[in-house]
Amino acid sequence: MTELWQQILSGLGTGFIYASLALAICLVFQGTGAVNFAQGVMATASAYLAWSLVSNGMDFWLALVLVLAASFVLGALIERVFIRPVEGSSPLVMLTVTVALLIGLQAVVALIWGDDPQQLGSPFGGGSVEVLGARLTAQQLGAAAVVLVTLLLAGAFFRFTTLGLRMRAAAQNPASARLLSIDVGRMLALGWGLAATVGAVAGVIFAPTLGVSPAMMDSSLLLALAAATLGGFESRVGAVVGGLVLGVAANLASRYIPGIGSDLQLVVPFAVIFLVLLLRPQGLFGRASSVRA
Amino acid sequence: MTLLQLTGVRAAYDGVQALHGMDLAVTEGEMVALLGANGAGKTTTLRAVSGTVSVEGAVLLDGQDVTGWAAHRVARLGVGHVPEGRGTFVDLTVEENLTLGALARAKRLRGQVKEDLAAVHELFPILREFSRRQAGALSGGQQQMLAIARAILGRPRLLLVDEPSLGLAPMVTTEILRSLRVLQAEWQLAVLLAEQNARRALAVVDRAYVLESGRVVASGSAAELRENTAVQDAYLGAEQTGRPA
Amino acid sequence: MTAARTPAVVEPPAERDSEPTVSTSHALPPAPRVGLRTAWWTAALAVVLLLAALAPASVISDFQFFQLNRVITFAIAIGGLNLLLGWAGTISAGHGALFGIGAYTTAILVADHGVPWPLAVLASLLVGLLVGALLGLPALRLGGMNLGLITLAIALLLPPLLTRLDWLTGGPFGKTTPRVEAPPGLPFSSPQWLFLVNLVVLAVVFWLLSNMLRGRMGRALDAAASSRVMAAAHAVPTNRITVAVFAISAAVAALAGALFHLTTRTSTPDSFTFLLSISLIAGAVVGGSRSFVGAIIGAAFVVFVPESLGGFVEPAAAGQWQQVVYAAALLLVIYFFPRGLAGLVRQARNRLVRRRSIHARSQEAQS
Ligand SMILES: Nc1ncnc2c1ncn2[C@@H]1O[C@H](COP(=O)(O)OP(=O)(O)O)[C@@H](O)[C@H]1O
Ligand SMILES: [Mg+2]
Repeated sequence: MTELWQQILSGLGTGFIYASLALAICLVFQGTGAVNFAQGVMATASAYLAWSLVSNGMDFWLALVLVLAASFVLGALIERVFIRPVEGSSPLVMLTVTVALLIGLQAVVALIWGDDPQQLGSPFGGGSVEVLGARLTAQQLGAAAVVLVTLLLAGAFFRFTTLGLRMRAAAQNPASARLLSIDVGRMLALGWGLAATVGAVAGVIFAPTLGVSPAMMDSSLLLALAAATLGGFESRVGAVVGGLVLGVAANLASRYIPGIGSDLQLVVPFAVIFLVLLLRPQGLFGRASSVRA
Repeated sequence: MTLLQLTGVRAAYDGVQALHGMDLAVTEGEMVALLGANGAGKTTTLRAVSGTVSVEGAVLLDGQDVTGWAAHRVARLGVGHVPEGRGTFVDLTVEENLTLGALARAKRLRGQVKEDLAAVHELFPILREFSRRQAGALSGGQQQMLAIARAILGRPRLLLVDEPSLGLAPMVTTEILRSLRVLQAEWQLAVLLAEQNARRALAVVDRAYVLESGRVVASGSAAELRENTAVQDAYLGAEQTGRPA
Repeated sequence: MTAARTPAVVEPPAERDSEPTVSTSHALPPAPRVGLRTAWWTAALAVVLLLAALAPASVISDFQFFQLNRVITFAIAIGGLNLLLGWAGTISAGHGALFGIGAYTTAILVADHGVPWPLAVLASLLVGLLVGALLGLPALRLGGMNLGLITLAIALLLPPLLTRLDWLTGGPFGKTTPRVEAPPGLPFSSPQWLFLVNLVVLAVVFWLLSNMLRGRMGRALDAAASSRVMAAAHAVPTNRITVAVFAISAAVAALAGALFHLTTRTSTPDSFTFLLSISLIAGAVVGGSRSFVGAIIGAAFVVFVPESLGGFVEPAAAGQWQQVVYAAALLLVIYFFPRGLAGLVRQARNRLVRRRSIHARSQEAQS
């Protein structure tokens, strides 16, 4: 029983990585209609940036703040430069652009920082904490807490601020938004910036566990895509919940299903998705499309 | 004083010309109708003003040349547009839709949002009742009201309204147009109204332009046009008996 | 498909290069006329390449034939993928895996069971059809983007599975098969012979596919893609067709994978990663996802562009610079030719045809 609880909690821990990347993917998709395959490698770049700063003696938290700011700018810039020219194109064209970004950015990261994996020390120390009978490392707990706060902040931003409302409006009906003097282009860039920031939080705060390497986010990206599918691309809450569910499911599967192991633990989340989509094609949280436009 | 002036405005969709040199003007506080059959160019004219279609010629707003401006910049000058098809944010609540309208107003009018919202709720009580509902869950007519309410909450100086009668009962349309008149006096609002139903439009506006194939073919005061049977027969005939399907 | 041949009602040909089109009750929009023209182009290309195959080794080396073989096999797979991207309005992020399944099927049959390679290739096709049908089944409920993301699963799971099932697949070292030699008496080296084989398969597959798309299937797909509601109104069994198309597309990918294995001779789990799947998508978009000529162009892009940089940079970073250039090229093509490079070819040819007809007309006028 304790064992099960332990597995659930640590699955939840990794689930936060998927959840934040999935939220980022969702933000970008809602704004520009692009499934951003580069979301993971953008977070990787952020992690490397943090690693550079910290290994040059900077305090972890200060580095985190700087990196988040830089990631925001980078994300917005990517939208302005690379996505703007194809704004409003078919999903396929969008997807190809983000694939190109994935390929290009991954290479750039490797060119700047090299292929060798690097280590970033945990800002939470090496201790461990007992939570209701399960033992979690301080890193696991701290990272989850930081991501949770980030997700809540992002949610509050969209729910309660006028800028958040404007961004939702621009994402949902750009033509109408313009008529209400909303600069849609700027909102889309902001959306990408915000997505990059959310992804960066996950990339940096989980870097001590994942290790810093050009491929560090590869499998997380795919699980995040799966999570977004599970939650419905239209739903931010859905993406987050989807990420957490997948984290737990993958962890439990690799522990309890004989022969699955860590290399095939992806089977289970995908089986889950498969079932969910068969029952609810719009995803767990997606609406069955608004009929009246 | 002239608020809006179009001179030789031409517009095309994918190379197909929709406006062939439009000339028209709207004075401050005036209510003007654009009449004409389906496809005459009413919608495109409104779009030319709000910057949602690219144009040649000159669009002057309060003396300022806004030709080729991005739509959101034109909107910031105080142009509200209730587009064809309403354009409500269906996944947002009624309240959020209205908030977005209020956010579009000029800074100096920000303090008055509360009173204005109350006025709008008075005009359209249903919007208060349904304020927490998703806009997409409203009926077509209710969404039309929401679209108009949202636009006027922006306190525009010029309000472009595209066929509000679509989806609304005739009585309601007349009611809404009358309400616009009231607001117009209080808020110094000029209205440019695109409408197929000439009779109904001419009952409320000051002046009207009659469009055909992207050109102005007649214009005059509402009274003149009501009397002018030649124009009515030539361009507005079908509308007298009701709209074609 | 047979219907296209029976001139039930002969209409005046709208375009000169088309056969009399059949006009059964035209409830659905007519299928686009890409098929025939494309088949023509493919045939012409085939002849040129056939001549190339006969060229002595001093002109085209065996390595170059090896590269061309990669291009052709990718082109076949992309052509299959185009069925989904260009016609069915859905996407597969798992065609690289289907390609891999085809490759491994052939590899295993040839290496471990002594099956002659032509039969093994055929078996790959059938396995692809089967896997495709199974994967396509959820399309009955899903369709669109969701189906695409489901296919992510096999793209991700195939490499670890191939590693894991070592009793079958040879684990991380994969399977190696002997060289495919030309039949005795024919003066071809192995890559040359494979080149011819691949070319024939490419021509046959594309011919079959474009025929299929010109028939009822194409019209139904167009109707389904343009409006699900409308398709339903015309009683087009959208979902069943989507499943069928997915299965066919998968079979084509597996077939291409089988041929790819014959060319490379060794298949390992990391030959068929997710990156291959997205490369195929990229190739389809770059070429133009509604064109079979586009599939060839896209395949050439995917094979050659990343390698074109070989000598220019220090070897250590060469791979990365290749990636950067590849990404940049991909972006440039998308920005300037959002409908793919095949559109460019079409334009050039149209201009040529127009000039020729103007020329002809002016000559008529003179006589
Ligand atoms: N989005 C569009 N694309 C192409 N043509 C259009 C579009 N919108 C309008 N048109 C054409 O422009 C002309 C004017 O249309 P419109 O301004 O909508 O007229 P109205 O609003 O008076 O019905 C018509 O011939 C119409 O077919
Ligand atoms: Mg109109």
